[in-house]
This record gives sequence, C-alpha cells and structure tokens, in this order.
Amino acid sequence: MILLDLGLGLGAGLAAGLAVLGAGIGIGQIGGNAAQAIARQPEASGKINGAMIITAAMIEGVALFGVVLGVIIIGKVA
Amino acid sequence: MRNLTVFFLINLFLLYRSVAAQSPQKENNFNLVEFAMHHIGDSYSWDFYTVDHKTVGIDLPRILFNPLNKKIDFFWSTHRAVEHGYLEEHEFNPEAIHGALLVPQSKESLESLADSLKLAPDSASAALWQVRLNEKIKESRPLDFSITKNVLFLFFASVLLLSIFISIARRYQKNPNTPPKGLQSALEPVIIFIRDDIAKTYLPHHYEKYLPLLLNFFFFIWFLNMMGLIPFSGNVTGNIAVTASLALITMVVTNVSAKKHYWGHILWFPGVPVFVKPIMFVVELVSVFTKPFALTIRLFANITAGHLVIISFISLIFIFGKLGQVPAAGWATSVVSVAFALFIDLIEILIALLQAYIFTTLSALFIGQAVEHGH
Repeated sequence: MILLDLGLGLGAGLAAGLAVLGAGIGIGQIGGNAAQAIARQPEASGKINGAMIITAAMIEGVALFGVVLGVIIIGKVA
Repeated sequence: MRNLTVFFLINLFLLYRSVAAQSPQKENNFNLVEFAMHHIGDSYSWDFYTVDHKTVGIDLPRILFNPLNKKIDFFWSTHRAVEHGYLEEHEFNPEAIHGALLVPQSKESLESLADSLKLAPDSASAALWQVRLNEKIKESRPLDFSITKNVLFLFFASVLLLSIFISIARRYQKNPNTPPKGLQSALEPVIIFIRDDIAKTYLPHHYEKYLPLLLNFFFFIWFLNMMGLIPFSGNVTGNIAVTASLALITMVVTNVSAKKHYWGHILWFPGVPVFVKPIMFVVELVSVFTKPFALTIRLFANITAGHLVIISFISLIFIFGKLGQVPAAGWATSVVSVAFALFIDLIEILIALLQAYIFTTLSALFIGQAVEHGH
C-alpha cells in the first residue's frame, strides 16, 4: 500500500513536472522567436504579440492538463 | 500607484490576520492544504475572520429541493435549516464539506444505520454497513440551489457590470458625437480594443453579431478575476463549474452557428486520401470537445494557481514560526514572504487581464473557424 502511494505520488509529481518542463521549453521558444521577430520588424509588433500570446496559451493549456492530471492522482493518494 | 501600494499592504495585513486567527484551532500544527483549500473554495457562509474559535461572518441563505416530498425549502441560514429538521452530513460522513445537508425524513434510518455500523462485530460486516450508509446518504441529499459565496459574488459582479455598462450605453445613445466622460473614457479604449483587435481579426465578416458575446466574456471574466483578488471576496473564476459554464457557452455558440464547411471538415476532411478520412473524423470530433475543455482548465488553473501561490507564501511565515516553536523564525520569514506575496499579487493583476483576453480571443478564434469562409 505504501509502495502504491509512493508510486502514485511520484507519478503525480512527474506528470506535473514534465508537463511544465515541456511547456517551459515551448513558451521560451515562442518568446525568444517573437522578440527576434519584433527586433527585425518593429512595425509588425502588434500582430506578433497577438500570435505569441495565443500560441503560448495553447501550450499552457496542454501543460495544465498535465498539472490537473497530477492533482487528480494526488487526490487518490490523500 | 501609492493607493495601490496601500491597498496591497491592507490586503496582506488582512490575509495575515485570518491566518493568525485560524491557526490556534489546530494546536501547533498548521495544516497548509486545509487552510488553502478553505480560502480558494466555495462555502455556505461569507466568513471574515475567526477569533477564539468563533468565526465572524454572514450566513448565506439555503434553497433546498427535498426529493421526498418534492418541495422547495428556503432558509435564511444553514443553522435555520438544521433547526427545521435538516441533518448535517458530517454527522454521518466525516469527509463531507462543512454545511452539506441531508433531507429530514430519513433521520431514523440514517441513525439506525450509523448505530449498526458502530456495533458491527467484525470488519466485513462493518464494510457492508458502511456501503449501506453511503447509499442512504446519497439518496437523502437534497438538490442544492443555495446562494453560496461564489453565487453571491456572481450577483455582485452582475450588478456592477449592469450598472456600469447600462450607464455608459445610455450616454452613447443620448450624445453619440460628444467626447467620452468619466468611466466611459476609461472603458472606451478597452471596448474598441476588443472590437478591432479581437472581433475584427478573427471574425472579419460577422464581428457585429458576435461582439456583444465577446465583450460579455471579457468584462465578466476580468471583473470576476479582479474581485477574486480582493480580500474576503469569493474566488469565482477559480471555480471549475463557472469556467466550464463559460466554455460551454463558447461550444454551443460555435456548433450552433457553424457553417457548412465546418461540418465538412469534421465529417469528411477535404484534401486527404480516403483511408485517412475516418481517422480525421475521430480526431476532429474529439477536438470539438477538447477546445472548450482546454478553455475551462486554462482559466480555472491559472486563477487557482495564483491564489495558491499567494496563500503559500503567507503560510510560510506560520510554518517556519511553528517549526521548533521559534517565533523569531516566523518574524524573519515574514519579511521575505510578504515581499514575494506582494510581487505575485501584482503579477496576478496582469494575469487577471491576460486570462480574460485569452479566453475572449480563443472564443473568437473558435467561433471564427466555424463561421468564416476560407480556411
């Protein structure tokens, strides 16, 4: 039983952690590339900002699925 | 800026006070999870603070539909409902949330089941009684339409939104060609922004039809997000039922107003080999439901996470203070904790606006994909 709880706890942590890790890489890429794009074409910054925020929100949504999954697993442990 | 700083200092002071007041209940054992969940959750009373195990707050009315006699009961508080024969669920089920009620008629059978459970000779029969008791509890739950804290704050937000926007709209109708005044000039750029940057971008041909919906989404979510940051207020957009309802509206509007090409893309995806079409059908059908689900989770998780981080920073003071019974550790931590909580609080103001913007934009995008031609 303790082993199961340990496994579930580790799984929950990994689910949330890995999802956030992936999202971090993704949003970092978006932010970096958007900054570069704005530096090259400052007049298009409005459009780039809009696209950046929407794409980041999409990635964030996927990451939050992982976090919610982690919370659900933790609910089974507690 | 100065007013803002004062506001947040008051905010933190009040948070501090409620933490300090509640911690003595659990002697020397500060339960962060319980405390945090109480702060972000819904409740049947609007509590302000607790002093000497007495909670100061306002009881909220209960509206309960009794399934046994098919009648709606109204009480001004949970206490009154109990006086009129309703049972508190946590008497029979220790895991029940505070304030959950059971219908009055089934008292004898519930008590006899609980007694049988206590007198059970061995663990196997105890488990059997437990199952029966759980079933009985389940069937004696009334349908709960009570005005909870979240519902109360939904009403507050509705009244605020209606009073602000009706007065603004009246002014536009009366003097359409005069410069904006007061609140009108504060909100006009925001309304223009949503019309030009969200509605016209994603719904270029139909923006007039969907602009009221998008404006509603934006201001409703923004106002509730900001209200959630005020101490003692309800955490409405951090409630998954609220965000799910909002996303459901987007889903219904998207699918009801969808044009031919939207259904064409779902049922018979164009431009791919025939054997791929059934696979695309499954993928597209799933995406009909994942889009609103993602909207639900995004708003809920962002707001909940922000509140949890602030509460955790403030709670650190008491966790360190209780560790080894050294109050000085708590005082020392408080400097760092308050600074960090203030920082997160300011970020939360940005997030409140950003999440409202993202929800509105994605709704416009989804509706636009279904309504607009081209893609």
